[in-house]
Amino acid sequence: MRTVLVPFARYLNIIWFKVYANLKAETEKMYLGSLWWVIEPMLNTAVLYLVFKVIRIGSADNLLVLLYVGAAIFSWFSASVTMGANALVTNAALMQQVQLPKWIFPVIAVANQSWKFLFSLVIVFPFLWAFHLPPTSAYLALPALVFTQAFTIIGLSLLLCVVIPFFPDGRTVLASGMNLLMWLSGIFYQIDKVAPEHQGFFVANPAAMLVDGFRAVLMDGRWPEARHFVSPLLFGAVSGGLGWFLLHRLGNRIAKIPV
Amino acid sequence: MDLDTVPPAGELLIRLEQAALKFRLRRPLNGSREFWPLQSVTLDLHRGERLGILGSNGAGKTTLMKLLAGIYEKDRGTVWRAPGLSVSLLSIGIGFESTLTGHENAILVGMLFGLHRATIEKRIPRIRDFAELGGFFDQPLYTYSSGMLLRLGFSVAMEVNPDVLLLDEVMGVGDAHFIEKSTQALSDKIHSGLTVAFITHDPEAVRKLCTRAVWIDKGATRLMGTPDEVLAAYLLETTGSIGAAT
Repeated sequence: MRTVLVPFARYLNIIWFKVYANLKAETEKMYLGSLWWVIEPMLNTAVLYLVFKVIRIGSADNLLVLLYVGAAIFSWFSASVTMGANALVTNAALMQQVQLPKWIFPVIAVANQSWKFLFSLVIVFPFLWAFHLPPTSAYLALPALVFTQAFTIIGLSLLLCVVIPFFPDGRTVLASGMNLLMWLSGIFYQIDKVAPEHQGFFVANPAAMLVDGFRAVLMDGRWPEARHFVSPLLFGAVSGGLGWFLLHRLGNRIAKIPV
Repeated sequence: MDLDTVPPAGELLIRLEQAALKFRLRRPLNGSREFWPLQSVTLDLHRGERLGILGSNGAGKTTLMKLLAGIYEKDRGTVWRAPGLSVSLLSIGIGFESTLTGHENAILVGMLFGLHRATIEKRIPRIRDFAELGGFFDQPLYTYSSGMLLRLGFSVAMEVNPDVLLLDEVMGVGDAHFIEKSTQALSDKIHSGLTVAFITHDPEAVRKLCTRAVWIDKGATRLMGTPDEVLAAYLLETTGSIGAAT
């Protein structure tokens, strides 16, 4: 047991230092530093609000909050998976000098984005309360939702980070896929307003279920339902398991790929 | 034979038998998309040995180091490592993060080289003293000159003590004062009882530091034996004289 735990503690420390270094590099480049992690989702929401409310493309009660929660959850999902998918390519130079387990690199990428999301929560709660959406007992389900989303994005990142070095064009495919997913995950609308014959797609879409689950808790004060966990956990487990297996089998071959 | 040059007697740590390794190329080289930098390398490394690796540029020495370190995987032949063996390929400056301080980077790089955080933290005062960076040790790396980066990298590298230490043309670094100091530190480390394999082009270093030597030529083992016999054969072919420097 000790032979497993001792190196694992070292890997966790490496992840911690690398995440700290990445976040420090990001904040030192800009005058407003980490405030951007709060400002960016607000700016995104402002643009969406302008499009959907002022230009009157859509309508919903509490549209601003609906958009904010949707955009924040989806940004965490999409930025983490994109950065995680590219993790082995961006760390190719380091991989060619030191022997480290390859899973460390996508986990660093996901931890990086997750920290930014958690930081942005500082503003989410006062924002909700300002819109007369006070905390409820359903908030107790938030850790489970956060864990589910983290599990899903780590799983997807583990699989994609093995694919991208062998198929670099996958980066473009992934960018288009995330763009498409943005429109199909209910960020701009409520999923229960979608026609019943299309509901099945949304239930199978992990990003849509996570967005909907967070909205249920934060906006409606409802406990999340089983469907909010099933497809994200299933996607996370299958892709994570496959990614772990492929990393184990192909990890050292990836170090030899010219990137 | 030099008294220091003894046949391998310690426990076997690594054995390569006709190990070969290929890279897949994006553009064909000589009509092939496969390139075999290692074609048939056979060598063994025993505990306490100091193995010098000789060979001209492009012979496959650096790739061999990465194969020994477990960074690359062989495509043919056999690579055997003793169970639980820790192998570190030392590079000066790898893994540095420019926004972190010298202190923070020393911890990070020490961990990348296989040290545990508590161990590297205990050695920070020694690293700080050896690097002679003064107050810059607590400044971010983007304020460092290239010489200061080398000092920090070297000072951290000297704290790494794996079962097998691999040195790819690592030598004294920095200004005249630091070159002398780091060369001495490196020599002390090599003689500290560690198992070391190192690439060098300096015949004197092979004679003084190695207990055995191997000559790698076009990705294959050409000769393995005592430093004197391997060096003589290598120099005779590459310079036409057994005593000349490369």
